[in-house]
Amino acid sequence: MSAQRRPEFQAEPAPLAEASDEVLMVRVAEGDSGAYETLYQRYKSRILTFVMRYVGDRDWAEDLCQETFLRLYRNPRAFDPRNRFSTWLFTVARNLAIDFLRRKRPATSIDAGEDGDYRIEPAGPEAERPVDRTLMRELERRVQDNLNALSDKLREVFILCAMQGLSYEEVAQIVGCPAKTVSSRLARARERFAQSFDPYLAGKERRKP
Amino acid sequence: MITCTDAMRMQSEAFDDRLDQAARMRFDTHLATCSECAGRYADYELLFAAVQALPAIENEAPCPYPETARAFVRPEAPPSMLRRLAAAAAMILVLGGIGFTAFEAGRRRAPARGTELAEAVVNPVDVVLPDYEAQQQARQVVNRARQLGFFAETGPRYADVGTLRMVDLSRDNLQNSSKALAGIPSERLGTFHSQFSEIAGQLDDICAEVDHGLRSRDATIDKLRFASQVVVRRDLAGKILLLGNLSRSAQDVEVDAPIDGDAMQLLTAGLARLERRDAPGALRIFRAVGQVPAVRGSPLSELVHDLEVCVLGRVSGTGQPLPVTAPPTTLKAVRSYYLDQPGVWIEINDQRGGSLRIGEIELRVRPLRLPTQDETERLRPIPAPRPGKGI
Repeated sequence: MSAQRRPEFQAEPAPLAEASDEVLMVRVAEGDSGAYETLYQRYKSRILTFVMRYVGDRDWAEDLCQETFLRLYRNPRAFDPRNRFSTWLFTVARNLAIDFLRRKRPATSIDAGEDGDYRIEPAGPEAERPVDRTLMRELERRVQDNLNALSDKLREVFILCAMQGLSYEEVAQIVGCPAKTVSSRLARARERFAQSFDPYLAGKERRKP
Repeated sequence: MITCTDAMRMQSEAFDDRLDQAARMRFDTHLATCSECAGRYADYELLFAAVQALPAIENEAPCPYPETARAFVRPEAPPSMLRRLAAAAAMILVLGGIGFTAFEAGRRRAPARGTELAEAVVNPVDVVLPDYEAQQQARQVVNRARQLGFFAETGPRYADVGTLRMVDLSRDNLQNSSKALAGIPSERLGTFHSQFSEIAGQLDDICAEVDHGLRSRDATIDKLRFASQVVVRRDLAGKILLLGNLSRSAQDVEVDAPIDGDAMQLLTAGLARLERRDAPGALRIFRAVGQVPAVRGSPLSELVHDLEVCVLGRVSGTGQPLPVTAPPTTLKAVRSYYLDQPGVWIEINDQRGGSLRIGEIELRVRPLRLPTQDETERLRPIPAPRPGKGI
C-alpha cells in the first residue's frame, strides 16, 4: 500500500509592491525585471534629486541616474542582501557623481546658470500657484547655488542628511567615514548655508557677525 | 552652562534631535536665557525645515532596461540575421561615413569583449555640445552604443529570446538615434563632430562583437539541429543520444542517431562553442549508450573536458559497481579515451583520485535531473569486465 503523497506547500512570493528593497534585489539577481522596475519606481526620483543636487546639472544628473540603475541591473550581485539597499544605491550614485565631477571639473565649473540649467518640477497643488511656484524656484536656485559653493565632502553629507533625510549612520556608510564626522560636516555645511541665507531670514539682525 | 559658541555648534545636532538628554537640556536652557541664540536657532529651524521640504525632482525617464525589455514583446518574429546585418551596416554608414567595406573589415577583426567596448565608448557625460538638442541626440547615441556593447556580451551568453530581442531593439534604437544625429548640422555638433570617427570605430567593433556572438549562437543551434537529422553508419558506434540544452533557450536539441564524418565535425564545432564554464546549463545532458566512438581529440573529449561527469550504470574498476538507479556519481574529468580499440574502455579520474575504467557507459554531463523511468529502462546492462582489458 503506497502512502498518498501530500502536495508540497509552496509559499507564494510576496507581491512586488509589498516586497522589501532587499527582497526585490534578490529577485533582480534572479532575473526578475519586474522587481527591477519596482525598485526603479521607488528610487528614481530620490536618486535623480540626489545626483542633481550633487552635480548641479539636470541633464548630467539624468544620465548618471540612468547609469546608476543600469549598474544595478547589470550587476545585482554586487549588492549584499544583508545590507540596506538604499544605502548601497546611494553609494553607487555617489561614486558615479564623484567620477563625473572629477572628469568635468578641469574643463568647466558646475554652475546652474542664470536661466537655470536645472528644472524643478512643482511637487503638488500648493506649488502650482504662481507665487508659490516662483518662491519655490527661487529657493531651489538659492539652495543649488549654495550647494555648488560647498566642497564635495560637505555637499554630499548635506544632501544626504539634510535633504534626503538619511540618518548619520547611513550617510557614514555611504561616504565611508564615522558618523561623528558626518555630524561635524553637516554642522559646517548648515552653518555656511545659514550664513548665505542671512539676508532672507527675519532674524538676520540677531545674527552675530 | 554653555556659551553662545557652544550653542551654535550644537544646533545642527539639536535640529536633527541627535543630542543626548543632558546636552539637549543644556542647549534648551541656553536658548531660554539667550534671545540672540534663540532667534538664530528659530531661523535655523525655519531654513532647514524648508530645505528638507523641497520636493524631490520628478524623474519621468523610463526604466532604463526593463522598459526596453517590455517593448520587445511584440507579435512579429524578430528580424532575420540578414536584416540585422543590413541595419547595422546602414547605421555605420550614417554614423561615421564608414562604408560597408569598412564594416566588413571590422567584422573580420578579432572581436573584443562587449563590456570593454562599451566602456571604451566616449562617456556621454564628457560630450559637451553648444546646442541642447544636438547634445541630447549625441548622448543618446553614445548611451545606446554603450548599452549595445553590454548586450554584445550578455546577449550571446544567455542566448534567450528576450535578451536577443533586446539586442535587436538596442540596435534599432541606436540606428534611429544615429539618423537623428546625422540630421543635425555639423556646426551644432561642436566638439562631438570631431569625435565622430572615433565613436564610429567603436560602434563598428561593438556591432562586430554583437554579430559574432549572434552568429556563433545561431551556427551552434543550426549545427546541432543538422546533426540531429543526420543518420550515418558507424560500425563501432552504437548510438549517441545527445540532449543539448542551450543555455536558457529552452530548446532541446536531440541527436538520436549514430554519428560520423561530417556530422561529427559539425557536432564538434557546435559543442566547442557551447563549452562555457559561465553558461549554466550550456550543455546539460550527454548520454552515450553502447561503445562510445570517441578517441583523443574527439567531440566527446572536448565536451567533457571541463565539465563534471556523472556515470550512470555499473562502473567497473573500483570494485564498487554502482547500480543503475543510484544518484549520479560526480566525477571530475575524463582523462582519456581509447575507444577505437577492441575492448573499448574509458578511463576517468574520480574525485577520490582513483581511476575508473568503464566499458559500456552512460555519461551525463552536468546533470540537472535524475534519469526518468523511461531513460533508466533504456540503460543497457553492462557486461562483465573482461580480464586484462580493464573492465
